[in-house]
Amino acid sequence: MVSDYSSPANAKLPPLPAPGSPRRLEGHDKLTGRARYAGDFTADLTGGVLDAAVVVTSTQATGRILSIDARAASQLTGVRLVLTHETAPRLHSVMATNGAEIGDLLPLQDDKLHYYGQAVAVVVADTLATARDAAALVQVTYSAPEPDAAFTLAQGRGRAQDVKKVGAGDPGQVQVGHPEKAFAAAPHQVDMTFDTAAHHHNAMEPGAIVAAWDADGGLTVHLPTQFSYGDAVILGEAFGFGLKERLPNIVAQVLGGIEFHHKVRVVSTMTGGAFGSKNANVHLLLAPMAAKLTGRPVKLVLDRAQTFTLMPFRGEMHQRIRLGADAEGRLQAVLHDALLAKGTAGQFVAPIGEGTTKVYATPNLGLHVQAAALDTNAPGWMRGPGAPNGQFALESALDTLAHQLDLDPLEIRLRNYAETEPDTGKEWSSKALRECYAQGAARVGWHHRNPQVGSMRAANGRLIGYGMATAIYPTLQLPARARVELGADGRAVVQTANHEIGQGMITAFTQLAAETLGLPLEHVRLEWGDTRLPYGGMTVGSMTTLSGGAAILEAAQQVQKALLKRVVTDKASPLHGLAPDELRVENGHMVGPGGASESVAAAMARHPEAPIREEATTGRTMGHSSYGREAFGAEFAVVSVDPDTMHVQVERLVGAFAGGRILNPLLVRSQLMGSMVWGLGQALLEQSEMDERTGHWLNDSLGEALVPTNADVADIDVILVEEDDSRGHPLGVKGLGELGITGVAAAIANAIYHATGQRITSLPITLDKLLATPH
Amino acid sequence: MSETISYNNAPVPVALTINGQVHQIAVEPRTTLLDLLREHLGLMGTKKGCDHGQCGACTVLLNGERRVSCLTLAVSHDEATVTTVEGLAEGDVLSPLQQAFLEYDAFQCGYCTPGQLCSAQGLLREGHARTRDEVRELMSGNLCRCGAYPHITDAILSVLLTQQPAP
Repeated sequence: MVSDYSSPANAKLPPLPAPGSPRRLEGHDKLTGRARYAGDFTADLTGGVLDAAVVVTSTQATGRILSIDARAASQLTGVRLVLTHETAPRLHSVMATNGAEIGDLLPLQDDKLHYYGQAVAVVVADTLATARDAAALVQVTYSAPEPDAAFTLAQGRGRAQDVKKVGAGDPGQVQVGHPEKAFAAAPHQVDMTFDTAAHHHNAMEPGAIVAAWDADGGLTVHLPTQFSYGDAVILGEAFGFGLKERLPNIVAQVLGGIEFHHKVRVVSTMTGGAFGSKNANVHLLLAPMAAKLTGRPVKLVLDRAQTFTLMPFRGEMHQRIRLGADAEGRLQAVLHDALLAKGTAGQFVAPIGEGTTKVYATPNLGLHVQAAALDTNAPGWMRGPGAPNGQFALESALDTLAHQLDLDPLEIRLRNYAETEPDTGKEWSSKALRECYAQGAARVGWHHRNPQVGSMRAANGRLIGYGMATAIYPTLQLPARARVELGADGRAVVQTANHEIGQGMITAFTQLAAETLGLPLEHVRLEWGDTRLPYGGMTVGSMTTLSGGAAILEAAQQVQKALLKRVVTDKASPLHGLAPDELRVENGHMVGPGGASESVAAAMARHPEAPIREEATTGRTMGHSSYGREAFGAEFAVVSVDPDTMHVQVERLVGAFAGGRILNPLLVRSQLMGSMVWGLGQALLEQSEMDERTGHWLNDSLGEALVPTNADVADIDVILVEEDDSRGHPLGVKGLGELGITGVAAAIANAIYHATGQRITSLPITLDKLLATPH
Repeated sequence: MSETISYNNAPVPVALTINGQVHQIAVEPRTTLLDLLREHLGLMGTKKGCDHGQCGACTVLLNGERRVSCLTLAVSHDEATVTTVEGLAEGDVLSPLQQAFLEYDAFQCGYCTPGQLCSAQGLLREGHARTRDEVRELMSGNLCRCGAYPHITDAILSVLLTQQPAP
């Protein structure tokens, strides 16, 4: 069953993925080096001047700054500014809708330390080399650190407090039925605890920003962000632009069609990976502060180590799962207790109960989330964001229950299949999870494996194991607005301030508009990532297509309606007199019954003074639905384990996912594949290690904080299972960007158990853990 | 404050042929090839992901061999020939490798892509990789956080096999 690609005979020309799908429209730019990311800005793009800024970070987590000696730094030729809490502009408080640190703690406002690696100064110079030299010369002295600091969950357990709301507002406390009582009474019980390590996004592009103030006091920033409007409002609040009405009101206004006319403009056209790490960041405020004082445009790029403290991460989590089941393996009670790390500044607590409250049917359900505020930078949204950890715990516990009852792990999941949403009782908008299980199992050869633990060996003696888990991610939608304009040349421009972060938004949105308008792909151009464009919402939570796509669909439909109305009433058109609904528009041509036709370009050319322009706002109800809306999948892992060294290699990952309608199978496959690579990294490699004495992330480099390399990554098989979700969303699409990660760590852990009999309950699963128990 | 260390940082002239164009430039001895490309010549295609030689984003071809330009001192390579991502295509026509990256969707955010392309170009020239596993191993100095690895491997293999049919 294990693929063997080590012999040349197997080196066949790889089949093209999704051969019929359009390739990435920005592909040429990315493949030729023409794509400009914020860090690639040069002075010619900012009026001939662009200084370099470098951040100086604290080397102590708690206490106070006693002094900052910037004399040596300031004396270097070319240094323009050393910005410290003593010289920085005073900022107004801001609202961070994502729970980010800056909602509680603005940078460089006072002498108090909150975490190791906090920004304590920004140096600006004419060149990057000089700015770096000067930054190294800034001397900071600190008071004694506080004696009772806590940097890990083990140290901060005493700070645990119940959390009412997790994530973007999901309940942190859930009780359905009488879970404790039902668990106690259940004939079969599993009671396990799980620990998962902190790890960082480590997008290849570090945080970066270009900030320029104009002569009228307006501010333009270019930066990779997942929420350009949100960042613009934060800047507007912080720098006193009178954006006192705060984000929700501003969003309500711009959704109502009022232009975002404020003197702040945020542009975000290329992002070198985000995964939740890029918006409302500290550097969003640092660069404009510096540029305000120097009066010149500034580019600030974090170094890799600084991304560990000035950007968020997935925090440490401790979980307890209790499952009570009857003799047939039907769940009578599911109890999920979780303790999550948060920052002393920053409100984010990951939504960890998605799996326990949504995946399996049970009459008695309990979720109890607590958080402990640690003296570190704040954890934040990171691909998943709590579901991969929650699923690791739940699916490992369920696997344990299956083995305890001598049931096939797939069978126990089918026996507990939730026909309705477990915590609400709602009907699903769609749920093709059974087909996912079946197709995934068939592809991986699940039923051909020997289910006996420790029974399978490869020819080379390595132990082989098969494991599986359910993947789940909520299907969400946020408000968004789009404008579509059909011009005199018959070509369309689509505008919406959503963001390309590698997911393929440019291609998907252009394709969607072209299909809806009946135009060839090359006749549609997208403008994106700019607060001068209509509000495009947040590029988060796997909902870009759901949010922005719905607005584009509606605006494009209105444009087509107006176009058809125009031609049937236009005496010069061969389609004059026909009813609009008799016409179809295909490949740039309007075609009527009996072969009457006219090109869109010809019809539009007759009225060069009157382009057709429509705008649409969608998602005002935030995707609220009378249905339960989740995307599901089934993930399978095949691992091999060296019986002597216990080295684990993932040989194969198979994921079968039901995601409603798939607009572009190429992009979706790639996104799910990448998401599964993330699951592999979380399972076996990724951990940011904290120095319990100082609060310093010890392995803050890409050499020491391991992420998957090409050689680590197995063959990955993505199966897109057919599903009709047209009653869930106008496009029938579901969120897929994060679904792929959610079941992988559990599937790998379960495969390792099948191979070795070792149940590892902490992530990542490293050699020391496998060697700690005799085998 | 610690004692002052003085060193000679006077700019040193260096001649480099970059993407076919000769550049005569004087840079401090400590200047990396990466900073020379980006900060001095404004060639921003080559990316800085870590500045420590750990991620591969800054990989370029130096006299045809793949090198992490962030760990390469420019003045050590006077008279060298450098190819960056900007020099791979012939005008607007993508190279076979670039075309394969497009067709196999071997990139997502695109930030590691210039390094992946240069590294793969070097790999093809080295001639050591014959199998999928060898490609995977020999491309492991180039991180891709989007996780496009299987497609990167496919794209490289497709070029490898088209150039040199499997035995």
